[in-house]
Amino acid sequence: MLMFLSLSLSYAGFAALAFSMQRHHRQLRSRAPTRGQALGLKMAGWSALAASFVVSILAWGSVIGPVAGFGVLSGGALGFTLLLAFRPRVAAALTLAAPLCLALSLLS
Amino acid sequence: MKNSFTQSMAWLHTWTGLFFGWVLFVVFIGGTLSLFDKEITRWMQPELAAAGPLTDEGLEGTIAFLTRTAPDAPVWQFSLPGPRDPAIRTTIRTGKGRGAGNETTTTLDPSTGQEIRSRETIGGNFFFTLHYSLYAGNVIGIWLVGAAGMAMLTMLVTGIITHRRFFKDFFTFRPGASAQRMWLDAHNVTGVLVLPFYFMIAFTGLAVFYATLMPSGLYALYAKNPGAYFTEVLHFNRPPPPAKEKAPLTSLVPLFHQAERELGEDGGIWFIQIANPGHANAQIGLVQRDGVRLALTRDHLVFDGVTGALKDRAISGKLDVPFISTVLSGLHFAQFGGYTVRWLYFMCGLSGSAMIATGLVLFTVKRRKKQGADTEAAPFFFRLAEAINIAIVAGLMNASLGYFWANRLLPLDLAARSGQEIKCFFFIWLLCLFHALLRACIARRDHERSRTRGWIEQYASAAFLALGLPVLNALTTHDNLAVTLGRGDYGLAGVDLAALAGAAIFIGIARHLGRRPAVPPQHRGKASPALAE
Repeated sequence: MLMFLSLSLSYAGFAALAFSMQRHHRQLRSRAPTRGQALGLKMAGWSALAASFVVSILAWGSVIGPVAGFGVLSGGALGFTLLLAFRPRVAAALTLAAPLCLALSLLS
Repeated sequence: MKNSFTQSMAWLHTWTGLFFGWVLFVVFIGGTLSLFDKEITRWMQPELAAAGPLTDEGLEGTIAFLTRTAPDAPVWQFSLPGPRDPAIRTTIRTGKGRGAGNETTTTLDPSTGQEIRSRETIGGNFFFTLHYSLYAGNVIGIWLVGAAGMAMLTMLVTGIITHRRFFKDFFTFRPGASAQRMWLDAHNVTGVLVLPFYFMIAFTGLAVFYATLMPSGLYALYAKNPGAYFTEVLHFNRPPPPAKEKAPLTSLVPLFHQAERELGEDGGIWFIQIANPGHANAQIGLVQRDGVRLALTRDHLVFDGVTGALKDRAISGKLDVPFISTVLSGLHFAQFGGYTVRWLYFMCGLSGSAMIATGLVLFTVKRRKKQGADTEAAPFFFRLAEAINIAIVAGLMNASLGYFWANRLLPLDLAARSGQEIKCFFFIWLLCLFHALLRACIARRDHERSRTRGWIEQYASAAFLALGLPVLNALTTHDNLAVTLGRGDYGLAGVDLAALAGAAIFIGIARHLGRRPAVPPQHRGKASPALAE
């Protein structure tokens, strides 16, 4: 479960960072993000990426964790970018996987 | 050279990219497939489905088999079954050198030690050898791949310098844009998002071959006997020449259980080597299975083969230089962390292959744009580069799939069968090169059109081979995708599923290339009413 949490956090983190940029925000909504929105998305994005890395270390331990963590970050970024190119709305909606995985791993 | 720093970096990136890109694409595809080498081998030897679990009887049977078939061999080696390989595999060196021609391998049933007659193939190991030496031999091949690895590090650095909008274009991929824009986007995205992996894999790949690629230090210290380095520092087990007196071999079973107790908590024993069997100085080495920790340590115990006394234990753990070297090779070989790590590496490997392929395509797309799309005679060199690009990228897909087909279609009792499978691979690859060259030759007036046609045809045939593979598997074995999925055998099902996924990608690329307006619009307008009728 922790693996999925780490991957979904990486995905959500990159999604937030992308949507804080004008170009990708416009793929979703007709207008550019306000300054506050952009800042909020940026902060959320970076925290999610940091959290993803921490969760990777929790999942795989301190030796393999950092290696797998980089892989998970790349995986989330690649997956998001591909989806964003073809289905931007689906790409945005999939960020909801992160809270879902969080809830599931807290429950179990 | 070019005047500004960025321009000269771009120049370096372009030209090293073209020549080493051809090598690196093959290295990347070979390495990526090698992540599932044992699964591929199992798919290629369907006869091994009969193998049972490992027992003491199986170990004794293995020794009996070796005593019967190779009483005079200086070394017996065999690997034990594990989660990814169901059989005991014995290797007896018959010639002086190493490699397929000098060794005979046999598969045994782990529960009895009886031989399971399986088709002769090197299976997934093929892609491993392709990965590190391109079948160009252990000298030329390793040096060529080593040079390509060095070039890759260069290209990563020059690529970052050349990339003007590293962060702005971080997520930018526009599949609908112009050809050049789209391929550049794809090149940038696959390059930037997986960058840490590329640095790691290129560096560790070079580090694995340090003794070959940077031998000066080793020769300075061990000038008289370079081999001594490996025994002293790395604990490589170099058995002494056989003693004159004969002596019976001690029973393997208690030694195996002792080694399992000592090394077993980390995955058990993977490999057993018996040197000088039947002689007074026989010794038995038991090597631990890879896969529990990051470092590729290969801890082992060595016993006296006659008395059964423990002679040497090579257990790593100290943080010294040899240990760091095992961490670097561990990072490269990805035996740690189970299937999750394997899939992460696989994804990064595919992304790297895509980065190299798009880079190669960009080289010709950019140059064509500079010279105008419909130049009657594009310079000879660019057309040659285009043809080689097709043969390397799409042709390798055909050849690799052809290797799987050959495994199922060649007669089972063919002499030197594993070699014939490899020949099929290279023959199909050569065919693809001829096809691409032919396309480049007949492409004169309407260059752009027949250019994409070469790509489309080879991707179409790769898609056919990939789609047909699960069908071929179902027709030639007792298994098929539904059965393997049904019993949860994802190792075997994965090969079929990967073929189907590959087919989807090839069809996607072929359709995308076909959709580009190859014919000028006015011709199109004339053609469509005829089609409507």
